[in-house]
This record gives sequence, structure tokens and C-alpha cells, in this order.
Amino acid sequence: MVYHPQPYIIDHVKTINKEVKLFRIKSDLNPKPGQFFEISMPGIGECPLASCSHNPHQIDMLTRLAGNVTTAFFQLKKGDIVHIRGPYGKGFPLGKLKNKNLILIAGGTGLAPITSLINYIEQNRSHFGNIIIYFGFRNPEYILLKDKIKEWRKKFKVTICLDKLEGDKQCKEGFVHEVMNKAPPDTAETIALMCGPEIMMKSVTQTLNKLGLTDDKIYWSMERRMECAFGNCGRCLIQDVYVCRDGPVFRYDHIKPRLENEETSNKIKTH
Amino acid sequence: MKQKKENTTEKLKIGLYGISGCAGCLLTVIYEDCFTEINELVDIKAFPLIKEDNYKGPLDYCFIEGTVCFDEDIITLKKLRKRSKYIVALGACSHVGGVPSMKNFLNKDKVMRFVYPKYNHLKSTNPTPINKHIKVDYYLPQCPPSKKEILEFVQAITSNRPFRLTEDPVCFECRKKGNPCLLNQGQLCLGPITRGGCDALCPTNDTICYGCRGPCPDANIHAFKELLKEKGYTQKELVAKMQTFAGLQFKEFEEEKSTWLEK
Amino acid sequence: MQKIIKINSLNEFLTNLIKDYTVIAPVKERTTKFKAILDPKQIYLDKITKIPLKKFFLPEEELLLAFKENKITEVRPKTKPTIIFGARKCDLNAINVLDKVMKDPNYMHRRKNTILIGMYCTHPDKYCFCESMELINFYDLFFYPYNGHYYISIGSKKGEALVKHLPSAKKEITLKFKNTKKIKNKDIAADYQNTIWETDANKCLSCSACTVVCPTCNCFDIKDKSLINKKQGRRTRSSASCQLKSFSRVAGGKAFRDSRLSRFKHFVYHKIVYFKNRHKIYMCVGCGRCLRACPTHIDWTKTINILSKTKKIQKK
Repeated sequence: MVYHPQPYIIDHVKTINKEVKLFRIKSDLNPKPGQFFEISMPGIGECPLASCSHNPHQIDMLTRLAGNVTTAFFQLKKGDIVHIRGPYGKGFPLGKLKNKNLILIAGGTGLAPITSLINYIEQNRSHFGNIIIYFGFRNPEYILLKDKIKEWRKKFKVTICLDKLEGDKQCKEGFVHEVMNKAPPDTAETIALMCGPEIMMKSVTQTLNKLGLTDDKIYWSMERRMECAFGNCGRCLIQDVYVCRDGPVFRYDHIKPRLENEETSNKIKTH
Repeated sequence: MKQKKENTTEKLKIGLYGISGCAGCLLTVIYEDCFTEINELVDIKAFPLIKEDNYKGPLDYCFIEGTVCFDEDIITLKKLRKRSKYIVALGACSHVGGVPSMKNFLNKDKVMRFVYPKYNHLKSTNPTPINKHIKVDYYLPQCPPSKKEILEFVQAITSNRPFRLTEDPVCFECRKKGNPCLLNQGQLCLGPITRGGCDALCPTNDTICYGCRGPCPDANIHAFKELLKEKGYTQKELVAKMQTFAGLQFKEFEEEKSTWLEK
Repeated sequence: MQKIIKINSLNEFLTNLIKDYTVIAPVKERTTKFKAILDPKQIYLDKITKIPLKKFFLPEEELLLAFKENKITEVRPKTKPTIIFGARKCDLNAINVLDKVMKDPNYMHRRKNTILIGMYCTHPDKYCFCESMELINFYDLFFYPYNGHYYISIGSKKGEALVKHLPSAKKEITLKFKNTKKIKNKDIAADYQNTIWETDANKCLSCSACTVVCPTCNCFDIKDKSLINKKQGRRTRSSASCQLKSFSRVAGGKAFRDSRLSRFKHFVYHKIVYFKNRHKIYMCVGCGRCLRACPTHIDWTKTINILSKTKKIQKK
């Protein structure tokens, strides 16, 4: 059964921009926030995608055009059948977040897993303290899920950081960590969770460290090449941890030495 | 859905041409069931090797076989480049220079005297692969190119999928097949530094790899040379092997000039 | 309780097994490997096989799914009940390692259908280092040659059923495993950044020979193929190698283990450290196949020994 994807019907497709589409799929798989699925395109391949909602009757997939599989996925329309297997991974450590203040940071399509967590928080608002959200995008054109962000602005403290402002008055200019540096958020009794490009997560983590948040209070949602998604194929190993099985969400102090080890040995040139 | 339309109503226009070469690569296309399958997927508009009446208009993909050995070849190439959206280098000669490119490393007069008694009327230049003269979009390496790879390529272009050559060395496929290592047996096999994708055809048949698919992007030529030195081979012997098919590319690779390798 | 059989009646014993089972045993052809045999005379036990036993459980290319139109069907391998005969202790332990990782239905299907018969290893060579890898007894049956007889240890009910008819041994005979090369201190977790690894990585051709012949390397690739111009296709699994750059390359083009050094260290550390952290046993079984196959004769066991030596000197 493990390799056998099941068919589901696409309920709705929304084109967000040239590179990104949002697919709504009817399913009762009910993933935990932060878990992911393998989308299967018969004859082409598979690709891991996180669910960006927390809903027992549907999965939302924010998909960025990247390779063969996503190209084929983009051609599907409402009513078409898509094959999915999952959910995989452990997702966000919901138990540890209870009664805490949260800082959520998302960069680009890293928005997807964070969105599922925000959904969960909305449904269980009394379990959490203050919620501060940062989004990082390239420019106003690249802002994803605009309607949802509008809604969240009413409920939480939301900051959108753009690399280039281009006249957008509701947003702030600069990378997330730069904006954070200028107006530091409160970090008492706080846990930070983030997803996005590794460079972004690294600089944000350094800033949070300066603001008094230690590595054990920071969680990264990682991305690596995954093929089997249940810890057999060995692709996603970061030293001794499987991103698919042990992650994709890691406490930063757990993953940091492993990432540093790989990074330093990648820099050393051999013949 | 856009894909499907292209498949059924209007097939891609393909041309297959040859410049100086043995026509072996073009023969591979005709060979066995390869041709019928390609013909099903694309519209073969021009194929001078087997057709008398050839289409002269614009092409989508133009496959070119052979090395540039004469100035006329360059004119032909430039004309084909203008006519086609994409140029596909077919076979080792157009990809890396092939056997003719060996002449680059030899005394030109001596070579010509060896082959022809009178050679004053010959106007050949130093043979070079086609990417030295025109922009090449895709490469289908090997001498002759593998049927499997040609089919894979045609399938990729007709279904809008990107086509990429493997970046793994020949050794990977060779070991997977369970072949005994020819290097360990004391033969000078170029497997570790050659780009794979041929299913280790030669080593499987107990013949050393001559590197016809050009250098593997991740090859450790330095360590390979050290190994051969240890085994008692001279630099000259290794260079001679490397020059059989892809001498120009191996040389460029060593000088780290080859920018097209990552393709 | 051990069973006993005369050495010269082994062939008869095996011929009987071949009638009901597919018997896989080491043979010598172009290279030495495990292969289904029809005649016990084909068996070659003198040297360790070049091709590991894993090839039987994890074939180079295995069909997982078949597609037709929009229907996906799962494909199961068809295997007769199988006996693996003449596996060495290292080979058997390698299966134990694979059992720990592989949760793949095709693998488990094959495993369920197999009986493992081990054979005492009389000829460890200069590359073997099994003695250092804390191997365990893992078999259905195990043969110890002694005094013109094989003394057969029984490891499971499946194995017991095969030797029910044989007489029991009056005295238990188990032989000690022969001395092999040793890795003295395998605690190398803290030495990841040591520059000593660069010497080995510099010599590495990234040819992937070590991972292909390793009996416990199980990383794989899932690939799709669609038949030309037909709405049919299949999904296959084929073995991959962490020594290749393409292994960790993602859709955007970046390779996460970009340098030869990080790839080489990944192999050694996975075998000696990472796997042990998770499963409490070493992934390496000390068969030495990687050392034997390496074209540039990289010996990482030697490197580990040099490491522990330098550490001792530093302590003094």
C-alpha cells in the first residue's frame, strides 16, 4: 500500500500568479498542521507538497511551478482526478505550543505549512497566547493568499515584508529579519516557527537569538529532496535525521549542528 | 490540455541532417523500430539521407550529425540554425568532436600524407564539434547514440517535459550491472570520468570505456591520473585514450573552461 | 540442539531442497555472486562474493506500480519459497540491517518467503573486518564444518522444519570466528570536521562502486516511465548512490551534498555512526566489499584507526 496513491477529485483551482496555483482537493485525510503529501502524476513522477489548510474534509495545496511533476499538476482543472499518498511527517509540535505566545514566519511558498498552523490556531484560539506573524515576499505581485492575510490582519499582528515595496503602503520594506530588527517583537514565553528558504530562516533565527529567543524555542520546517516519504530511500537524510520521517519540522538546536556540519564540508574544495 | 492539442493536430517539425561524418548516427534513427515510433510522435519533414524531396521551411527541432571538418560545414550549420528553433547535436561527433577530432592533437601533414598520396587539393580544417560554431540546445551523446535516449528525448519534447542527460559516471551503471571492474583488472578504462547513460555498453562486453560520451561533470580527473600513475601507465597513454573521442572536451574540462557541461 | 550431517552428504541434502525451493547460493561466473542454482556443484564458497546478497531482495530495477489510463495498480513480485544457502555471517547480518530499515512491501514479501542458511566462514581475507562490527547470530540455520561433519545450529522454526529428519548432534560445536582486521575505536562522531577525511575524499572518483557492492546500502530512486504515445506507464524503483552529486539534487538544481568530501563522509558516518544512533547496531557489517571494490584503494577503516591513534597521542 505504501507506494499506492489514492485518487481524489480537484474541487477548485485558483491561479495566484504565473508561478503559483492553489488547488483545493476533496479528501478526508485530515492532515495535522505541517504534514505533507506526495502528489503523484502517473508516468511523470511524484513531488512532496504541504497542505496549507487544517480541514477534515479538504486539502489545500499551494503549488509553485518547479519541475516536471508540478508542470503536469498545473494542467489539471476542476473535476480532474489527482493521485495522492500521505499524510507524512510529524508536523508541528502542537502539544508544546499550548499556552505559549507564538511568532510565525513564512517566506514565499513556505507559507503553506505555516498557513495550516494558523488555521489550527484560529480553530483553537483559546489554547494560545499572542500571535505575531511575519510574511516575506519578493514584491506586491508575489503576495500569496491575499484574502486570507486580510482576514488574519483583523485577528493577529501581521507584518508583510517585501524585498521591493513598489508603493505598497500596508507592507514594510526589507527582509524579514531586517524588519524584525527595526521593530523587535516581544519574545517572553514565546516559541517561533518558520518555513521558507534556508538563508531566510538562518538570518531570522540569528535575529531572534539576539532578541533573547534561544535555539530550543525555534522550529524550522525543512525541505529536502524526498522520494519515498517514509524514511526508506535515504534521499532526505541530513546526517542522521530523515526530513520526511523525523520532520519536516525540527527544533532548531536539534538540526543546527547537522546543517553546520554539512555546510562546512561542502565548502571544502577537493579535487 | 494544451499539450494534447499539439500532439494530435500539429506535430513538431523535425529535420535530420548530417555534416562531415559516417552517417552512423542517422542510421541509428532508422534502425529497427526506433524510426516508426519517432515518426508517430513527430513529423519528419527533412531527412536527406533517406528522402530525395526535402522540406526547406522552418523546423522546430533539427538533429545534426557529424563534425565540422570543412568551411562548407559551417555554412550548412548556420543555415540550419536560422531555420530551426532548437538544434540537437546527435552523436559523439557533433557533441564532442568524435574520432575526427583526434586530428587536433596530431601533425596535420603527417596524418594527411598517411591517408592520401596526394592531398594538396584538400581543404580540411581542424575538426571541431558543432557547438564551437553555432548555439546548440540539446545533446544526444554516444557513438552511435543510444536508441533509448533518442526515444526519451523525442518523448520529452512532445510532452513538454525538460530533457536532461545523466550526470552520473559510467561506473555507476557498470557496477549496478555487476560487471567486474576493468580498472581493477589492470585495463585503462575511462569509466570513472565519463558521463553515463549508455548502460555501460562497452564494459559489459568486456571492452574498456573510451569516453565517447564526454567527461562526467563531477569527474575527479586528478585522482584518476594519480591512480593510473600508480598502476604504471604514462600520461601519454591516458591522453591517447581520452583523445579517441572526446579529447577536446577532456582538455577543456581539465582547464575548467567547459561551461556547457552542466546541461 | 544442533543437528548433524556428513560433509559429503551435503549435496544430497541440497538436491532435495532444490526440488521444493528456489535455492540461492554463491556461484562463480564472470564475477562471484548469489544466484539460483540447479545443481549443488555450482556452489562456490572459497571467497566472499563480489556482488552482495541484497540484489536478491532489492533488485536493480523493480516494478512498483503500473498505470493504464487513469488506473493505478500495485505490482507484487512473484517469488517461489526461497532458500538462501551459503551466506556468511556478514551477509546474514546485512539482512538484519535491511530488515530494520526497509518497510517496503515488495521487500517484506520477499523476506517472508525466504529461509536463510548460513555457512561458517573459513577464509576471511585481508579486507574483512567483521570482528569489529559486533555481529549477532541471525539465521534460520547455520552450518559449522567440524571433523568431517556439518554441525547445524537452528535459529528458527522455519529452519528447524528443514532439518527435522537429520540426527541430532551429541555435542554442540560452534566455532569461533577467525581473526580479521580490526577497527579499534569506532566512536568518530566528534571527528566529523577532522581534516583527515580530505585525504580520502581527494582520492575518491565518485564512481559509486562502494555503495553498489555494499550489502546494506539501500538508498533508491523512484522513477516513472510512460510508454511512447500510449496512456500507459509504470513506476519503478532502482538503486541510487549517495556518492553521486545527482543524489541530493533538488528540483531547483541545488545539490545539498555538493562536495565530494561531504558525500564521502556521509557514507562512512552513515555506516558507523548515524545508523547506530537510531537502531543500536552498526550499519556496516565488516564484509570489506567497499574496500575490495574501490578502484583507488581508499581504506576508510585505516583512516579511523589513524584517527584513534592521533587521539591517544593527544591525550598523553
